[in-house]
Amino acid sequence: MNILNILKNKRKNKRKNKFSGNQKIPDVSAYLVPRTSLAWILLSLVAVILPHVSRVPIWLVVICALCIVGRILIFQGRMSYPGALIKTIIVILILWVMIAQYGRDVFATESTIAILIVAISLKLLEMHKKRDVIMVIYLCYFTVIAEFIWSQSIPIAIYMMACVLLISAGLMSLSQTEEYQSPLRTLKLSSLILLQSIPLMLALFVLFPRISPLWSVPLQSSSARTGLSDSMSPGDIGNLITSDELAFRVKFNGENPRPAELYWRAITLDRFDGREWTRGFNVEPQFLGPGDRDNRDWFQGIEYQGNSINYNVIMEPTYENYIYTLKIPQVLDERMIMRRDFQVDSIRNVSQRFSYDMRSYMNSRLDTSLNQRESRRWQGLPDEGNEQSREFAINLREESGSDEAFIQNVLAYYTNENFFYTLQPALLAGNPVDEFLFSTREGFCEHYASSFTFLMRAVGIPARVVTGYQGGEYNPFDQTLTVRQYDAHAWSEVWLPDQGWIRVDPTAAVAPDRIELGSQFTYQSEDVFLEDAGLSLLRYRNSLFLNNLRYRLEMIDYSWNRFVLNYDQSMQFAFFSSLFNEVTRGKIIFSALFFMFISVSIMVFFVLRKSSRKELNPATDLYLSYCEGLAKQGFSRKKGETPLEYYERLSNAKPKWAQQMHEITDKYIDLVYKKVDQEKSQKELKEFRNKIRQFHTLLY
Amino acid sequence: MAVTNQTKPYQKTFNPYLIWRRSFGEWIHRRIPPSKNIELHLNNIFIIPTGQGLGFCFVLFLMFIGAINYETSLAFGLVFLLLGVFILAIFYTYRNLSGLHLSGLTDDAVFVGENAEITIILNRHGKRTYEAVQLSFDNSRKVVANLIEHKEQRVSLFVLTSRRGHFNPGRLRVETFYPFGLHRAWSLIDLDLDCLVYPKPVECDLDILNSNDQDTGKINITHGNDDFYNLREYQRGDPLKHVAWKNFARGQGMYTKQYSSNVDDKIWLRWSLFTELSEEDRLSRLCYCVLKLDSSGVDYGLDIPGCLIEPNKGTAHYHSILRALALF
Repeated sequence: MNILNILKNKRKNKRKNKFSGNQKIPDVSAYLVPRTSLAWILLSLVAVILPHVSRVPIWLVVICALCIVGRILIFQGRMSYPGALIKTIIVILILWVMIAQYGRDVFATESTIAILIVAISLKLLEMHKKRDVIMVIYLCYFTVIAEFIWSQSIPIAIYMMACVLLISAGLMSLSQTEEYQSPLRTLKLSSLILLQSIPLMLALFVLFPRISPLWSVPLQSSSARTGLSDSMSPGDIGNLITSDELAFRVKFNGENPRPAELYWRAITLDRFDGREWTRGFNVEPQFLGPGDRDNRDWFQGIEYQGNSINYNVIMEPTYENYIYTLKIPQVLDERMIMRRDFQVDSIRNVSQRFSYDMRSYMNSRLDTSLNQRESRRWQGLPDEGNEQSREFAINLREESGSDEAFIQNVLAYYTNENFFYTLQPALLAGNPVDEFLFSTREGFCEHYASSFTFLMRAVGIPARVVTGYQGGEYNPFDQTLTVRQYDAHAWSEVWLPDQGWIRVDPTAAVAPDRIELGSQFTYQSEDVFLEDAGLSLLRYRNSLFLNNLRYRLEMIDYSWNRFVLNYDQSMQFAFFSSLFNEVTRGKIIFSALFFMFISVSIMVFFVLRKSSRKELNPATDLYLSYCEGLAKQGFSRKKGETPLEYYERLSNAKPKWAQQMHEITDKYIDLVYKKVDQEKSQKELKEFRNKIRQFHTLLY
Repeated sequence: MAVTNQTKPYQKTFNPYLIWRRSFGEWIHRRIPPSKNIELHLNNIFIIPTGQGLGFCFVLFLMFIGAINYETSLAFGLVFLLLGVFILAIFYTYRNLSGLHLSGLTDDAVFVGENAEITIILNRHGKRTYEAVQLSFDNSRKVVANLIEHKEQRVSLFVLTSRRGHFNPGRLRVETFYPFGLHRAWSLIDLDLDCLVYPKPVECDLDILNSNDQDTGKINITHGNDDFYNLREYQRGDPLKHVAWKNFARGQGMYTKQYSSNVDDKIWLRWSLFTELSEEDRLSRLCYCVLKLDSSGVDYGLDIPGCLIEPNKGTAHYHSILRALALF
């Protein structure tokens, strides 16, 4: 009720002010959030929380909505601010639900953001001082930052800029007088200020020293990301095929390798339990960092030979440690380690988009001297199960005579025995390898890799399953290779004396198109392919226009990722190296200050410049343009010359224009000095403008 | 800034607050000298971040830490953008005062204990607009002025007067927090305002005027409506209650009734009337008498130490007597 009264009084004041010109500030003790500011704040709050909605529990969204409705009711005076008791109960209740929801992960990023959102929403209900309003606004800014932890794509960046604009408009409206809170003007000025601060932002973004994280941050615990995991059972990779999510992008230095060479190794699996391949042994890091590599004798077994290719990979977060490499990688980076099975792991969990440079030797031989202990690891099989396959392998080995021939024969078996490559194979039960090899004979890459490796191990050849991605899609515009989840693949590696580890891909024997043309051509006909992709542009790859559009968008996205999102110390250093011959700390600081000074000066210039031309009567403006036109013809008006004198001088010099000049001068004098009513003068001004225009055409 | 009604002689003091205030007063007097019309510009605008602005910086700092720890480029970008906004806001806030012309008007005179109305006239030239400019004196409420559509705005401030004499409301504080409330730009200007403050009238027995007067023999003005003497044509300044309204209603024009008792009586307001009272109390009572005498239409004069005003009547006379009392 009180609030209603205050509102009424305010309205009265307003009416009074119109006449007296005096204004009164509302009493401080009864601060009421101005209507426009409240609208701005609620709007920006909704905008800022919207992208988080899919990541927070539904009850939280409901609480948030209730708080917004409550705030509106408070503003309308239909509800009062909640009392201390109710507030305490609400907070305890929410804390309790929060702990129930997140359990021990209550301090992970995900739940911290949930807490942030709850906090802003509840703060709405007790916003009764200006300070509280400002706090809500600042928390909104914070929520924008929180969104960037999850997504930094271009659309999100644009959307968040719009949010920042809304929040800033809200902040601005707080220091305006209520009668002058025109939303359009507020929006205009705040967007102008934001635009003007972009130069400084760019300068700081490029030049400000990037610091490595101060402490490790807990990330969300249980998020279901699509991607490879460190185990493989039948059907696992098949699940990835339904997704068109980006896995990584690669830019090669130099020539692009052929698609058939693009076997991106991610995880090496060594242990088999009859059904599932796992990375059972903890394959210890064989060396840590580049400095140590010479101390390891196994490392001598790698012969880096032939041509190397260098490439830069930007991988999407996997929340695992593995990273993608080709063939035999040479680790160039201290952030990663290579293990003896040539799996390369990042030291930190890949929870952010991760960019790294890598060098691979495509023709080298891998680990030619396998010792006793190592070879036992790659030969292990469960004691029982899949007996038919074991028998088959032993017989075939005897027939073949050599390991190489045996491998060829097994591959020939896949080719000749009517094996069928499909995304929807029949389900396998007790002895999956037996069933696959001798009855169902339909399967996906993991079935082939698994059974092939099993057959190898059954006769004592060291063998392993490698999962990763095969192929990818070159963007014709910027030549980057895009690898998506549906490119996921599994293949085998076998060890032969003197040759070391060699890659054998049984899938190639069954479905050579999969390797040569890429996954999308192979799977197109299957309806599970891209099942989860929704309305993706990828569905329309048959339309040339849409396909080109898609390539263009991907190109922009790649540059965005590469140069904006992954801008780091090394890129900063590269930037400075391009500026100076020798980069020193002093030069960096100096140039940073210099650029900041320049950008601030530009800003100041735009803010404080005075408009050179004074506001003039529109008629005078027009008359001056008429004088200018004459001046170009060589008849400039003298200083202190009145329009009439000017006319008289000119009419003598140029009698053929005299008529028009006479009319213009007369009209001008009328317009400026004669007393006329508003409406009529508008009309006359129009006529005057037409006259001047006609005269200009006469001049040229 | 304190309200300085009169220039007080300097006393030696060791109170650091007083010393600071005094030297600040001197400094600001040198820096922004009093003037009837002041344009705000670089030399007389001060600017400093507000608490809200410092809070903004703190939030930016937290966001920066977040950006470092999560290694998110866009978070860095946003922090730098908002830092840019913070820096730009300095200039925008400055711009919201710079180029503003101010001048002031006051009431001519008020009585002690009344509010002096001070009208501030704000002018803008050119296209630049001014928004949410707050004006206040030390002991007045804040008033907000906006110069957006109009070129000129007048706002009124009311300052309570507490002493008689020349009243200077102190320096006018012109401040603004626009556009974001992150900075406060302000100026303390002296618009050379002067308002005369008359003593506070204190009621007293008017009979004292009759009994104590010896010079002019017979005076029997009580409330000035004894015997009707004649009518004379109305002159401006005649008390309205002496207008012959009946004649006026009959359409005979406006006449003033004259009474025998005050035809040629002259009253002197003398210092010696209130011997037993203190200086200020005497002035207050004399002031009361002036008010009463003025409405009764008698001629009255003032005779106090250092000032002698011959009996007369009318507005100008009335004010000159009050002025003498105020400045005593």
